[in-house]
Amino acid sequence: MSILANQESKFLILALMLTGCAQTPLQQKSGIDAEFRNARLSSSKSTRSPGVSFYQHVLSQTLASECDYFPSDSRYAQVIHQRCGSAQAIFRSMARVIGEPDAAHTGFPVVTRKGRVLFEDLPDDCALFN
Amino acid sequence: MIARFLISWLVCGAAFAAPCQMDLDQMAAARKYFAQKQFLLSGFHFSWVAANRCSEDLLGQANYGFALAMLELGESATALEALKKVPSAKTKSALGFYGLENTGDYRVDIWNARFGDIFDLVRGPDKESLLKLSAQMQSRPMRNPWIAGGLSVVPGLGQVYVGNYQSAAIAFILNSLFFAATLEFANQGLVTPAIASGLVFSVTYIGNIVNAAQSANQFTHAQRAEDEAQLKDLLFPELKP
Repeated sequence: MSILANQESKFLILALMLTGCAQTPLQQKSGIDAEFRNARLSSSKSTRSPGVSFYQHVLSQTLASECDYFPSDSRYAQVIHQRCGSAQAIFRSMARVIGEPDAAHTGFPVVTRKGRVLFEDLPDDCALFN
Repeated sequence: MIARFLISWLVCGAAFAAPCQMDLDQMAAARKYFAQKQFLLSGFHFSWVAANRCSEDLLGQANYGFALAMLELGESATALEALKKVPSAKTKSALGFYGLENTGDYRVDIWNARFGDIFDLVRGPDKESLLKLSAQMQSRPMRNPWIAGGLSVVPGLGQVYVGNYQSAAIAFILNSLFFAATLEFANQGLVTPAIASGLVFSVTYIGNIVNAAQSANQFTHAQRAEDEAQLKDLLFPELKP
C-alpha cells in the first residue's frame, strides 16, 4: 500500500505544504469588486501590446494555461503596458511570475472568480517596488 | 372580487403603514454588504435608497454610504458628488481619511504615520488604546523592501529574507540558467545568441529584485491588515455608513 493512501500521511503532507501560508493572515475580498476595479483600470484607451494580445488569443488558448492570480498575468501585463509603459510591463510581469508559488505566504488577498480561489494583485499604480 | 379587493387593501395598507420600510430594508442590506466589504453591491443598495428619497434623513445616510463605498472602490469623482449632499462633519472626516483634502485633523496624521512611530502624534480620548494598538503593530513581523531588494543582488536571497522559498528557488534557477547561457555563448564567440540570452537574463534579474521588494512590502502590509482595520475603527468611528 502506498504511503499516500493513508489519510494521516495525506494530512501531514498537506500540513507541511501549507506551513508557509499559516504565518500570514488570509484576507478575503469581494470578487465582484475586484472585477469592477480591474475593468476600470483596463479601460484605458492607449494601445494594447501586440505581443501580449497574441499570447492571450493564441498561446494561452493552446496551452490551456491557468494562473493563480486575479487578473491573470497576461491581463496584468496588458494593463501595466497601457498605463505605465512596456519596460514596467516586462519587469513587473516577470516579478509576478517569480512570486506566484508563494502568493499565499506573501499575503495577497483572496478573491473567488468563476469557481476558483485566486490571489488579487491589481495593477493599481506605476510604482515599481510597491 | 372580494379576494382581489382584500389583496389590494392589504398591499396598499402595508404601503401606507410603513412608507419607508422597503428603504430601511435596503439600507440594512447595504450596511451588511459594506461590513462584508462587498462595496459594489453595497453602493448599489445605497444608491437605490438615495434615488427613492423617502426621507431627508435616509437620503443623507444613503448618500454618505454610497460615497464611502465608491471611495473604497477608488471612484473619487463619483464619491465627491455624493459627499456634497451629506452633513459637513462626516464629509470632512471622509475627505481627510481618503486623502482627498487636507483637513488638519490629527487623526489623519496618526493614520498616515501608522507604519512608523506614532507615539508622539497620539492624543485624544482613545490615547491608551491607540498606544496599545501601535505597540501591537510594531510587534508584528515585518520585512524591509530595501533590504529585500539589496539582498536580491544574489538572485533568490531577497525572497529567502521574506520567507518565499519557492520563489527564491525559481529566481535562482532562472537567473543561473540565463547567466550561464550568456557566458557560454560569449565564450564560444556567438554574439547574437549571447545578446539575446543576456537580454532575457537582464529581465529575470531585474524581475527578481522587483519581486523581492514587492513581496517584502506586501508581507508587512498583510501582517498588519487586522491592526489597521482596528486602528481605522478606533480613529474614525464615523467612517461607517
